[in-house]
Amino acid sequence: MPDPLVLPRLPVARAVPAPTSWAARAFLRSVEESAYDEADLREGRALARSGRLGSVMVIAGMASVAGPATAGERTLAQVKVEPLADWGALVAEVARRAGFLAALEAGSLPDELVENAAEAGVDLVPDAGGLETGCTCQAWVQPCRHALALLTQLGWHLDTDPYVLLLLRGRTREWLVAEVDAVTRAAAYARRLLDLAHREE
Amino acid sequence: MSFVPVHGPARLLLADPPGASEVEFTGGGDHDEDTAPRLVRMPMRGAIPVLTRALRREEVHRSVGLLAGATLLALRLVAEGRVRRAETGEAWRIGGLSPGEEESVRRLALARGGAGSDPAAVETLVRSVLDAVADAVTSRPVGAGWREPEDDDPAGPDQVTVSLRVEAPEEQLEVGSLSLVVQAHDVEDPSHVVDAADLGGAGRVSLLAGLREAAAAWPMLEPLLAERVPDRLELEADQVASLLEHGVPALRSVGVDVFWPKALRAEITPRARVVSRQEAPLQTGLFGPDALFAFDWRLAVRGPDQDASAVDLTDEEMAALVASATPIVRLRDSWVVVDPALARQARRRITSAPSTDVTPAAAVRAALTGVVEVDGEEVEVHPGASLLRLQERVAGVTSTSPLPQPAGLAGTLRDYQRRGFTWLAELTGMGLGGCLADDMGLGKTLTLIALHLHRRERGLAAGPTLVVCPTSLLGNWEAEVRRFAPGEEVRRFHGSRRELSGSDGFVLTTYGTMRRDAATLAAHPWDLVVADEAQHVKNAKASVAKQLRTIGSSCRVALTGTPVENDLSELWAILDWVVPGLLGSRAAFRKVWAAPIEAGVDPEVTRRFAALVEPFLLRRRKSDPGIAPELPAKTETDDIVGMTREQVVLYQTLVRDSMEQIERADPETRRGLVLAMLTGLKQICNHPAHYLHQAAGRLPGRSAKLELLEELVATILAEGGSVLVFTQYVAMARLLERRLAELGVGTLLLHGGLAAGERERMVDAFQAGLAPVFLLSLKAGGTGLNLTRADHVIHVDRWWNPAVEDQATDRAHRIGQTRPVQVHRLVTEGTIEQRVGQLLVRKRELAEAVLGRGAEPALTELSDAELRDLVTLTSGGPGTSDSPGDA
Repeated sequence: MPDPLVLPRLPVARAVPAPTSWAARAFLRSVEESAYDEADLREGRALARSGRLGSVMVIAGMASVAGPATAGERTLAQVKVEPLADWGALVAEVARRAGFLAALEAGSLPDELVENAAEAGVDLVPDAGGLETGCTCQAWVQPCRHALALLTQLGWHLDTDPYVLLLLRGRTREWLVAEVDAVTRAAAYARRLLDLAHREE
Repeated sequence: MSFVPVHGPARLLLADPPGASEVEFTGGGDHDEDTAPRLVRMPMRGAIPVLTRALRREEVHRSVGLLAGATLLALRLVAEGRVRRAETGEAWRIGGLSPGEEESVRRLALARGGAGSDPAAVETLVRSVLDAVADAVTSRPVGAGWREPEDDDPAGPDQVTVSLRVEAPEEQLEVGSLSLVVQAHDVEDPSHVVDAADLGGAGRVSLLAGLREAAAAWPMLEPLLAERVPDRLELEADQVASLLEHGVPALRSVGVDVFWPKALRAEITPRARVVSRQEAPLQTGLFGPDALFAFDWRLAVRGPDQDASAVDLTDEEMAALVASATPIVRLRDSWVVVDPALARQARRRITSAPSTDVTPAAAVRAALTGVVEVDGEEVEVHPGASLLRLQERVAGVTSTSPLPQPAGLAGTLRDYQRRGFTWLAELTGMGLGGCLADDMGLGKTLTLIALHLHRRERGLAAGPTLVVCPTSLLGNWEAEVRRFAPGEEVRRFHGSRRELSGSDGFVLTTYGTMRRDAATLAAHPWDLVVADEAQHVKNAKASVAKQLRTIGSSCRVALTGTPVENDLSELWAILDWVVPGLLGSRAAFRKVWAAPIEAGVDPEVTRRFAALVEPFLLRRRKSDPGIAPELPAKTETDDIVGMTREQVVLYQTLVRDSMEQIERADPETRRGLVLAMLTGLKQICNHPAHYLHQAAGRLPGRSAKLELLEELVATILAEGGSVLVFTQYVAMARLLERRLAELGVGTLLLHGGLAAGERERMVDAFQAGLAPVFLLSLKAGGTGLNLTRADHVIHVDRWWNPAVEDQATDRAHRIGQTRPVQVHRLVTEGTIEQRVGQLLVRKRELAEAVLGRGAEPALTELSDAELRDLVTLTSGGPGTSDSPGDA
């Protein structure tokens, strides 16, 4: 198993600016839909910006965070995310434009890439059903407020680092870059062979 | 690859992974001597180029055609990114096809399958080939046997910076477009350059980051980011223009260089040529009112070779360049990239005014600086023939061999005076002017008189010479003209005498009169206008300076004893009067010259300014090595001054009243009366406040002598010199002390009432440079004063005893004194001061015999008639002076 991606711990914040990317907003909508009721959601959000959570750790397909102690024991919330349906299609879409990988590397997920992927049958953002949460807090319902806090923080993080989303969906940045590189290189090579063949005609 | 047989059957040997598949070609017997069929087996990767080429061959086996067709289709699909990982394992295969592409696959199978073959089997074979090709091309095979030569170093640099290489094949240039090829430079070794297309892995990611930044700086690059492989971008003509104007600087700001091919590196620069529009410009004044110059503006092209020289474009080439819709223009068998801003400038010049009239001063400025401002931009001036001639003449004025001194000059010019006179003659000969800023005492007045005579004798003068000077110098000018140019008429335009008609020779006026009567003066045709002590016009906004500008003449000369070159705004005011327009408007001068020079950032600007100003400014110092040996150790001049109206009234009243008493007095009282009158007259000449015992009375504007003294002191101080001021009267010394203190000049005052120790301390203080002016009121003999620090001596009033005066002078001038000493004797015109002085000169023997102990005792022995003759005010009269307050 590769090293987990450790996201910086978020300090206490009175208010958190709304995410700017379409993907982050969509993710947070899915989180809202997954909540059992409005009160849980409010508590989860409050906890997310309370500064009382530890660092969020992400590994392929799942994330976890340590919450505040209840009854002398620290809670541990986690989420499993439904894997992306067709990584090959996503690789093909990223490879279609050099600017897409450039944007991902610069920390933004272009809306156009999200749309193109959706057209190719790949939904980058999981819906509420794709988020499976658990927690040590023994709450009656899941997602509990700890899990909702984790999900909320994930939404904020992936606004500035799209690779967080991709890792939640199962693949690392390194994997994606290598795959896109292979496809692109092959395309360039094939183009060159075609040019060569045409020139000699 | 001709050794690979393609006319026999070929088959695909499928393997797992598919990229490891092989193709087996079979050679038929008919082409070979060897009858046995030849088998050639190649790995897929190596077989691809064989197959793509095979399609062009005529006799290709049907099976080879099928494999080749499938290979080409596979390459097209891979180029479109239609590859996917296999469901299991690492292999790549074709996937994600659009319906249209699926259709192509089926059609290929039908077309190449041939009659009688099983369509389903053929399609299966085609799909196998597609996957084999896809995997062979996409996977990086370990130890693969065959590679394309271009496909080198798969690792490449990890961290790169971006640059853009311009490529422009002829057919692209024809339509005005260019291609930008994206290049990556290894950060560790920038000379290691890879085309973007050849870069993979971390290097590619790094390149993309750089490219994203570049596209943010110059958005025209955005289409590159929409490419699968951002390797090259074709720019249309208008985009090429944008690249030149905005792209190159914007990209440079983010560290992205643009490299141009050598063939496009020809450079186009604007050049201006100054041409004379006169038939024979050098015969008359080059810069007379009729002088006509024009700038001929055009572009010059310098070939791609560094050492090639720029060649002016013809009118037709300029027109073609301006008419071109693209910045890429064909000129003289090569392509040239023209900066759109330059093209717009050229368009403006051609449509509005290809050649513009310029003022003579602007022509001189261009000649001297090598650049000219056209439409707010500095353009290099190409020295045309007339400009070269002009440049040589103007720049050479200071080194021209000296002219013979004018025949009419009564006196001999010293060498440096002849050089100054020659310099002025050359400049005025060209219709220009100059500022002679020699130290006081070097003979500027004499030099100017020589110039006046020279212009007359050569027939160059078209009118009289007007001298504008401070009131205190009027008398001096008149005396000097009479002395050195005895044949020349000299008249004053001053006071009640303001007659110009029929004037020839010299007309003298003051700044005050000139200011009030500029209209009259301006209506007169002057040959030469001279501004003496030109620092009076240094404030260009003052009305004196404004009025002076209204007086026209063939040429203008400024004289000043203060070092104007250190004060740029003062220099501008003076030179702008002398050679109007040379330094541009005051605002332009500040922007172009003064501000950069004062900031001291660009020595080149300072150098160019010096080159511009040098020909028009001549300043010699007494201490200059070339000047000092020519100067006598001691120079004595009588500085003639007039009187104010107040002085005249007092003087005439005293003479009238005293003479009446004297004529009626007995011999005993007569002697006392004469001495009293003489003393009173001398005091009036000094200052009314002196005579009237007004120790606290107002001082400025009442005594011409005091004004001259102020002028002298100011000039001496400006030179950094120091001066001894002698007067017989302690009261006068105190008045001077007060006035100089008002002017902020530090003085020491030595008089007979001081104790010996006090005197010594004062002498030491002066010698140590604590005050530049030393006022002395005592007979200097026998006191042992050593005042060698002074280089000027002013006698405010006369001792009428040459021995006493010499002794006083010698306080400053001692053996071993290295600096020459200049002695100024202030003499009031038309008064007893002047008359006795003349008497002393005429009757030197008498003076020495009779007046040995001073003139005054002897004067008491004169008859009434002789005495009246001596004291009566002559020639000067009230008209000679300005009313109080006159500048």
